[in-house]
Amino acid sequence: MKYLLTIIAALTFYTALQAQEQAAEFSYQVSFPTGNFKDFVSKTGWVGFTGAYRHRIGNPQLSLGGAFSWFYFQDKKGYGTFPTTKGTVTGNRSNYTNIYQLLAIVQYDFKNPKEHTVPYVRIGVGGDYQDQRTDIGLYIVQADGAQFAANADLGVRFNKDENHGFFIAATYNTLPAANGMIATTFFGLKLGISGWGH
Amino acid sequence: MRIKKAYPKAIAAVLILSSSLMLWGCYPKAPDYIEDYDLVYTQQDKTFDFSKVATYMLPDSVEHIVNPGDKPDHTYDALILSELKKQLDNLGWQRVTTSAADVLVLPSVMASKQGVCTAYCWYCYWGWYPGWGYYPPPVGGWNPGYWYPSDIVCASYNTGTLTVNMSNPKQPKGQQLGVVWLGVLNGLLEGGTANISSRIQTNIGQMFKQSPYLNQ
Repeated sequence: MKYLLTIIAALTFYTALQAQEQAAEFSYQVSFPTGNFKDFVSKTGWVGFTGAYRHRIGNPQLSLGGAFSWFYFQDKKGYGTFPTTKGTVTGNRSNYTNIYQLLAIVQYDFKNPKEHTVPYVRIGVGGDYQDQRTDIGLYIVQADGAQFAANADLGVRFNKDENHGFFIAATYNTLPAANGMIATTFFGLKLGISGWGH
Repeated sequence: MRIKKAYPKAIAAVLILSSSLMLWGCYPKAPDYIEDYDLVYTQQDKTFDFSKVATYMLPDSVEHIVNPGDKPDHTYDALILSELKKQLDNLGWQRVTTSAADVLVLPSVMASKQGVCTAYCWYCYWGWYPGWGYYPPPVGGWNPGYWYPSDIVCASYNTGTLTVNMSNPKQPKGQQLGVVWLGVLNGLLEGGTANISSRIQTNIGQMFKQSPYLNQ
């Protein structure tokens, strides 16, 4: 599944190069688990990268595109005792997950996108491949597979000139429970660079 | 202002490259100590009333489950039996030698050898790595453009599992006894005898510590 996501992402970015009025972005994100996911991994996720492509449509403040992200969360719970479905287990436990996400995105700039400071909102829907694992003792307990994914960003882009800029954003991701994996939700702070081509 | 296309192309190139790198994924560092691999699991039959247990039968030997042709290692049998007796006595139960006991406690041990092979990669240990050199040997200093050879390193390790079955002899199902409590200790059978003995003692204690319903 993750290989398929990568191929699709690569084709998307290749298409971006052929299109007009397109933007490519790359961002780094720090993520904070919430909800049930916080029980699985309570630690801040320091690995989060997103590549995105957007293409302006008729309204210059509106753009459509795609985004490919990778997030990694890890929580070394350490030695402890906890219940299982039928019994009780004690051991040294680490929970971790890799999330590979591919979204279709739509972005609305609240101002003329050529101005210096441009606040924006972005919504994305799509899917992901996730690999939730627990290492305990000599064993690995694993649940992996595809999930629906949705994302919302609220951010500000600072344009250095007409083609170059950087942006910061607050972001929220939600991935409902599927394939034995728990629902995955997390907030994030994103910092990235963007470039426009015509 | 002239609009350049190079900048998005550069970012797109980074995106494609980074997308490929992302597929490696991340994994936590493996534990440093042998005891970090120890695991204790317990399970109870919730319909069984442990408060009515006053006596137990514990055999004088530990059952060994081995592959045909393998010899069982009895090094830790006495320790296992004495530690189980200590824990069962601490519950206030009395050891008896007849099958008329309220519960039968039957320990069994299984040991196995595991093998694993890992492909070493040069980029996992970027920088100076003992015993490694450039390949082929450089002539006159830095010699870029050559791919380092990878090595396959294999290792084997021993694992052991102690299973303690507590059965109710008064409610047999056909030829089988119903298990009312199960304790499992699994870990690496590596390290010195003193280390393994200490871990067996600690973890048998943990079996009972995490089963407070036994002490009613």
